[in-house]
Amino acid sequence: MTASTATITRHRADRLDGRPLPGLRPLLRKDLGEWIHGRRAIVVLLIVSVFMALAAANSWLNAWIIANVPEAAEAGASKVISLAPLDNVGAAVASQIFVFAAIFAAMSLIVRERESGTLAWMASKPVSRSSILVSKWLSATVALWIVAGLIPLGVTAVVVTILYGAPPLGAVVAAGFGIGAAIALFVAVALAASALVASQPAVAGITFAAFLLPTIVTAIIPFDIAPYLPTSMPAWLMALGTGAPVGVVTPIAWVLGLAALGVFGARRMADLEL
Amino acid sequence: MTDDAAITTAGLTKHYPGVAALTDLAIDVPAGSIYGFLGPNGAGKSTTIKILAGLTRPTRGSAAVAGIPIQAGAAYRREVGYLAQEPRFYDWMTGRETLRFVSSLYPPERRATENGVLTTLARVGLGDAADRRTADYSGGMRQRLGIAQALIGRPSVLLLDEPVSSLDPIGRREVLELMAELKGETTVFYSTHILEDVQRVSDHVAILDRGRLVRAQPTADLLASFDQDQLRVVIGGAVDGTAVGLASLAGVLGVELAERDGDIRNFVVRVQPDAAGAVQAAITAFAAERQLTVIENHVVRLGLEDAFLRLVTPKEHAA
Repeated sequence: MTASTATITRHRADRLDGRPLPGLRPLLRKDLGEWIHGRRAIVVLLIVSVFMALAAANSWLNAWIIANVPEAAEAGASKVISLAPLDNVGAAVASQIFVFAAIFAAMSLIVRERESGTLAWMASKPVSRSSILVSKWLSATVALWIVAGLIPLGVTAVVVTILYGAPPLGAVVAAGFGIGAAIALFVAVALAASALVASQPAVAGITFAAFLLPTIVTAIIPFDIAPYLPTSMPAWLMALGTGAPVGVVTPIAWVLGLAALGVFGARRMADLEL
Repeated sequence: MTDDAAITTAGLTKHYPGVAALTDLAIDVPAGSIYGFLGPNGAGKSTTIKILAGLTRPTRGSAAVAGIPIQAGAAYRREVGYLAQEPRFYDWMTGRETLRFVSSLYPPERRATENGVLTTLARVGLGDAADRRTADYSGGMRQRLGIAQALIGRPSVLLLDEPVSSLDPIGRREVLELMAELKGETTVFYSTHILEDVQRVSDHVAILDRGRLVRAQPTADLLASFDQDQLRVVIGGAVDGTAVGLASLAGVLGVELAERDGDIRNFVVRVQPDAAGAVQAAITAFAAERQLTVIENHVVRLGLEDAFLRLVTPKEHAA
């Protein structure tokens, strides 16, 4: 047996009794249990909810200050951009605080288990390493979508309704899915990076680079490449929710991006020396 | 490969850049045995166990457990229960939850019932701590839980990497007794550098040095092979020329004066393999001719430590 044949057989053979992803269900239960038992979810929930609510309330606060504190207005207090409910839901979503939270929460998922030895422990069981990776991705995406997406968005919607009036329901639902799409993507980036490097700062560095790079690249290239980037999925969903015309390129890019990250992460995981 | 081998390796090799961690390991581990894998630090013991646990890929060579090759992935790992050197578990789980979780990773026919989980915990002495979080377990308790989780999927082989090296004497005794209880029930393949433990519980032993197999055989045979080549001879009325006379006997490789008390001298006589009996007879004749009194003339029983030290190259010599 050579190293190369071993690689091939591992990719092919990590099935059990013909089933793909053996052990996925119990691993998923365990990983979701870890989110429930830990404090990480509560911390993410509080930070993201407060931040998004403040971002949504920003215009109302500015309007109130200008109306009630003439000195502040004269001293150059920010001009109110818009008091339309949808614009302020958009302002909260555009802050992308949920992406930061997702990156910080996901960057340790594999690295910490690798350092403690529990990853080697799991990998010695009759499960596939791809199952371990998929379980981490699914559990983190679901948990973060709830605590960094849906609940803070609900809080934001309530704040917006109180301060500006009810936002269109379709747009809020679209924003919820948009946040989920962004979280799924950046959790996948963080996990793929975790299979590549062994330290949390390195994982964070790679994931933040993936987050910032599209902004830099779109600013440099004189063509509109945003629709071709998987990171544009939240904007695409928001546009869909508000009835704006949308193409099919962005969701395809998002699916292909996730698939590429999955294949890369699974291959790297299979080759990890534990 | 023998028919009743639980583990078989052939040409198993692991080389890292600039380091030959393991070279051409070929062993057959009999089913049901307690197999001690012995070697100094850095000999390649952990590398071997990690390869056998499916955690590290060999550079070349093959390995199989219960006839299933390592390349079979999850199907292979179903036959292997692995305990790391310093086992870590999910500290938010209790001992009972840990075993339940590990059991759920196996196919339905291998999963333990709730009663099975409790029985396994009781067997390793953790029945009373079943509902305590593993974060609160001592080192010995973690090691015993490690053995329990390795056993819960009813694997063909337990791979234990230095299972007692980090334990206090009480914890060490408990784990060794547990391992001895498993004899005949499953195959236990464990690495250690503690010779006393191997002599105490292992029926087979392999000695590894600098990534190469030096010897692999039943522990009793290994010790017996060293019994044969050394005699303790105590002679009364001996003079300075007695050692030279003993050294000139057929089959004698060397004579060393170990102790002297007046004219009573205690010699260590190294003999050629399988020549101990003939040399003993020759010594008796030699003494009778010179009117010396033979007080002792018997084969020296070596411990595993002596055998190990003879087989393993000291680092400074190898360098």
